[in-house]
Amino acid sequence: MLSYILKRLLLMIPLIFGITLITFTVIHLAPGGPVEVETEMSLKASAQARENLKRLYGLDKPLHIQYIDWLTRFIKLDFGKSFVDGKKVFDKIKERIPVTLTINLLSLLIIMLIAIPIGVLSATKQYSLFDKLTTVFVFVGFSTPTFWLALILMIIFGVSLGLLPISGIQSIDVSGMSKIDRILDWIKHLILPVGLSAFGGIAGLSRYSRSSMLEVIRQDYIRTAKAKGLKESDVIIHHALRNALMPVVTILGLSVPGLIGGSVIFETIFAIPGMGQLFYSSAMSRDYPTIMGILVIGAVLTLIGNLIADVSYALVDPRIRVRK
Amino acid sequence: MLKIIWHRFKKNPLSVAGLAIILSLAAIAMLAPFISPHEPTKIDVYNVLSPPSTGHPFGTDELGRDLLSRMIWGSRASLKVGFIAVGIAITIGTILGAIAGYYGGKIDAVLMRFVDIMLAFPTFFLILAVIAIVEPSISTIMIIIGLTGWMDVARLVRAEFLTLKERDFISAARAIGASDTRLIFRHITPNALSPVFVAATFGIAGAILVESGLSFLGLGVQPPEPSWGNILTSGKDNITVAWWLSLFPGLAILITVLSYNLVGEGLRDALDPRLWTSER
Repeated sequence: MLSYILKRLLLMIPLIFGITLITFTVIHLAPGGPVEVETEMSLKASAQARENLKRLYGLDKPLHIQYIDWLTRFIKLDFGKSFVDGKKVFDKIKERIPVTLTINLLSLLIIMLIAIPIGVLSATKQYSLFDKLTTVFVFVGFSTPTFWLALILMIIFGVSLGLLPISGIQSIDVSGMSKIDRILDWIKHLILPVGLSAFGGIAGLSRYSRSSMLEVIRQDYIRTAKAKGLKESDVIIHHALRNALMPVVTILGLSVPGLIGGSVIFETIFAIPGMGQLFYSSAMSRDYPTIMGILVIGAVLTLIGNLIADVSYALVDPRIRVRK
Repeated sequence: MLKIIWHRFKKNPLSVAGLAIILSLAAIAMLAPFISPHEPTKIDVYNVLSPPSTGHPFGTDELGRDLLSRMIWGSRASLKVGFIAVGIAITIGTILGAIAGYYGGKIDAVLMRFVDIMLAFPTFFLILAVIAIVEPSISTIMIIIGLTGWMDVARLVRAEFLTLKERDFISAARAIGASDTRLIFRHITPNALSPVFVAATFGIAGAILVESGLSFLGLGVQPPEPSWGNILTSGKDNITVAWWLSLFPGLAILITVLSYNLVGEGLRDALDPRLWTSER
């Protein structure tokens, strides 16, 4: 098992290298580059000042040298300083990551808790009313623009009913609250964002667990189990479920980039101070060091998600560990 | 061939309904100048944020512009972005997938690692990073959505090529001296295209969603040019007073995307030869 994990970790190295290369290329395709951004506000910036700035960022060196410089600093977790406020990019991201991770992990949990039972049930009762209803839900779920759903739910629960807060992760008067109230306040703020970011995933994963389950219950060993007189529920729970859920784990890993990418929209709509919101504001102000930092970190988080999925797949399926 | 596909496709009433909606939307987008009741950009300060009425069936926005007319014109943006972005994605994906699958070996390994790397980026982050650099506009986002959406197609085409290139008719064509280019484009690609069509239909649905999300954030189609996504931005700004600005454009996106997804599903069943035999 350990050698399997090590092998997977080694395979990640060329991928991370490629990720940094693409990030660097994308940002340096910028017409004018970072110096233009910093000087475009002050027309008085002389040619000399521009040269100095270029030297400061090392932009007067050839591209490949710049890349290597950036990469060596990157490995040491030195992502440079933000153009906007001069703070270290690493610190800015570190501040924002916990909120985003919390929301995404919570929604992953909700996705699993809701989608897998739905998928399994509709597979075991294929073509029943329940199956048909969930199929409709899946298609509508796939097709709903979640930011729009967010608006509609904000109108219903926030504006009309006044039940839920529609921005931020805590109320203004939070400091005067007792501990329990504070937690309740936090939960109230998170219900809409977490529920919404889970929404699309529920549709996808329930569809996937349904087809995975359908495939498994057509296998011979399931027919055998039924033939020897086991109860239907025993067959499903003890014989089919574990085999059906194995590929589902992989899909969960694959849904990580979608969730992280989606955080841009949710955090912007609900004014949540997370990585997505930071990325959006950095993109608007062309804060290149922050953009590059978040791009690489987002991609590395995706790789970690995939790694966790692969490892847990190997844990439940011995065939993967043994192969090669 | 087409006849068989249509015969199988029309067995699924929901997919047929989806196709009908898509065709009517295309007609609406093309006929926009003739059917929209008002000028989509005409400002009317006496009718700001007025609720749905007979004169303005969907109400008006914060500048008094007629929402229905803006939505009719906005359908053009969705249609354009959907088709052109997916066109770009399919072209890149098919070419790279074909090369990887046909030549195999090192070329395949390098191209597939490239696919892995591209898939590691949260697509929305990548798109946003590029838009930070280039001026956002409808053409920018069409290109960017295309450039970041080809990976699945490449994998599909590669998988088809891996099996097809071993088949006898390819060996026969090679034996009579067909060149690699001829083998790839004349003999294998046409046989590898049916999963691509299915992926393209789902891809259009996805591209319309991404476009509306970007326009909503102010990074896509730029006002005053209307798109369903940027109308929703004013829906958000007037969320407490004008529900119609949020409701109708969103429903339009939902119905359109749903239609493409339903057609995609129908097409997948219709094109899957494994399902053909079961009912004869």
